[in-house]
Amino acid sequence: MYRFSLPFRRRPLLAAALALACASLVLVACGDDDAPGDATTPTAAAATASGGAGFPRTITDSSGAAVTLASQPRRIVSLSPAATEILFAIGTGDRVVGSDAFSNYPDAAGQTEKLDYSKPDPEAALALDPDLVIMVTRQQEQVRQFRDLGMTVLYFEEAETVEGVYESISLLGELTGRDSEAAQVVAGMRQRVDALTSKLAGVAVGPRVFYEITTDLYTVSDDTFIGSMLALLKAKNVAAGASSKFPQLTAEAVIAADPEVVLLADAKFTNENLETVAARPGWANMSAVRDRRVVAIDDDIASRPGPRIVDAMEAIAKALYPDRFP
Amino acid sequence: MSIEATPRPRPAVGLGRRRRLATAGPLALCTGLLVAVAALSLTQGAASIPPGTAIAFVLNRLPLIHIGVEAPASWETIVVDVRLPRLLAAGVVGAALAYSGAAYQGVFRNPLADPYLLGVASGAALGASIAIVSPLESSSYEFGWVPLLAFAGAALAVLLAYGFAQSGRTVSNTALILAGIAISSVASAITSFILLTGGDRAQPILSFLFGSFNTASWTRLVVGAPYLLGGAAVIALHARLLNVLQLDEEQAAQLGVDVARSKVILLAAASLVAATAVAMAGVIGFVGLVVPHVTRMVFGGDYRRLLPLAALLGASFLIGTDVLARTLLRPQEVPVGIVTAMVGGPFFLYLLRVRRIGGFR
Repeated sequence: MYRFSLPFRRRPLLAAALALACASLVLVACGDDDAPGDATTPTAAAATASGGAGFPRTITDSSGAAVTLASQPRRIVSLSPAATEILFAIGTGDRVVGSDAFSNYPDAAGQTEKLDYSKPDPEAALALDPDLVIMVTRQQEQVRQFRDLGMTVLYFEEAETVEGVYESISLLGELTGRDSEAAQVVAGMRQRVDALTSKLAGVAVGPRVFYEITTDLYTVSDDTFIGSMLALLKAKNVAAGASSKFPQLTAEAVIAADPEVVLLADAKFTNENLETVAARPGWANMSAVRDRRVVAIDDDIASRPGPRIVDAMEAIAKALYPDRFP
Repeated sequence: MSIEATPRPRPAVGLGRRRRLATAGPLALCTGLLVAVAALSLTQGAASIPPGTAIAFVLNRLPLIHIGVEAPASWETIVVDVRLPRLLAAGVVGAALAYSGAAYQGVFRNPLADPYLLGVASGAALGASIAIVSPLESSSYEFGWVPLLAFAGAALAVLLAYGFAQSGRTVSNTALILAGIAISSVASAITSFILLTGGDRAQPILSFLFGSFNTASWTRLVVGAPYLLGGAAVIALHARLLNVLQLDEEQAAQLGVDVARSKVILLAAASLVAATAVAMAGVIGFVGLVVPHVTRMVFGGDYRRLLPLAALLGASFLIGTDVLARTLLRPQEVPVGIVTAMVGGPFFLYLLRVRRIGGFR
């Protein structure tokens, strides 16, 4: 039946060609590491302090290592945008000499020496002569490398709950000798969060919400930082049952779930808004669209487990309960 | 092109009566398969809608058909505005990839050829990446900047590959393939770079690299259709020429075929079809490589029959794999490009084993 005879003189060459093509595809596919799914398991920064006020201090970090600081750190390299924000919030920002490329808040953080976030160059870090390097989940594999080079590294897993953020702030306060400032920041945050939740005391079941990360419908499950905020605000995340942290829902699933509020975390990149959402096939009759409750959210704030999460929480609360938060 | 003068038809080039007669059966078979898979696709999804109701919604859109249906309004929206365009997009793209893949394999007389051989996929991915990380306004649902730059990238990659491989008026297949690989590597490297440095903003690039029909819309179908149909028509008109090209190039030339010119026309048309498909749905692998082979194994290598059958089977295959993509992790989505390889690979290996196909000596 099949008598399609092919001249195959160039076979080795072509095999090599295919291998090369495959290799390059694999390379591209490896970029998957950058997907939002790279966040860690929900563990609060599990660090305990020992020693009292003053230095030297020894702190056990998330890697189980005992980190000893002989004196208050003066040259800090922070490789996490959230940690950088915390350091500035507790008043020790002037000691941050280097930070990762995504650390852009506050403005002063943007002006420190920059290192890569996903693969920071140890040489660049050494050149800054730091007495403390703060590394987080993303750089876990490199912690040992940095320590072997003689740097003092504090490793902590980034928080995935609001409580976890408080712990991160306390931890960094302890580490830098800013205990009371850290306690103040946490107390201020707690107060604002309490103000939010107390206004929701009468809410039995909040609105169904779809939190859109990309226009092809990646969203957050409950096991993420944002998911935990939504839960705290009593909203019903339509992706609650998804098996991954950052699942991609089918359009049909979103439409069938009929969210009452759509939060657009992708708005700043894509200019999505109520009109574009309403124009999507099948979205026009969704409750959120009919009631014009499609709201843009700045997820730079919401996705960083730092002091500004309360801002994000307030913005989300306003979008979910406009009548309660005028 | 006077290929009518073929003196002694060989099996693969045969224009005899017996072969011509055998076209109707396979066509009916493949069309039947397509209809069955399409019906399956309409009745499956995250929302539990009774199959009969789903089919009725679609049939009601046809003239002169009125089936009484009592169901929530959202069901009709889901079936007609979400499932139907998605089904059509998967079908159209599957057909386009298989069709252009068959043409590529025919032109290169090489079983490893696929529609991405000359850089269509990597060029499109690069174009899409640039559109995604740039401040250009883009909505996934319309034919915005992402598909536009994807299409431009694909076209540019093929033109570059052809330009580099050309020497004088002729282009050797080997030079073309190598140039295509080199262009693809460069484009993929730049895409990876953008992906690594683009932060959160670059995330949708991954979706493009795996392909998806989650944002299928009527707009996209309507904008893409003219390019697909135009390119496919050109290839269809050259189906006999593809048969002749299966001979040695010298022999084909002796039969009065302008080999260099035919190659340009066929490659341009096939690349246009593939580029449009990739712009519409992202990079979906495997379909363009394997579906033409399967078609050839089952129905033989005459391109006049192979091309339409490959298109029908490609449509069925991609609609079917997209059903899995939508339902395997319901309500989540699995990138369809992953499913095509997971499902298609083992099936293809099985066919290889059972049919012991001729081209793979």
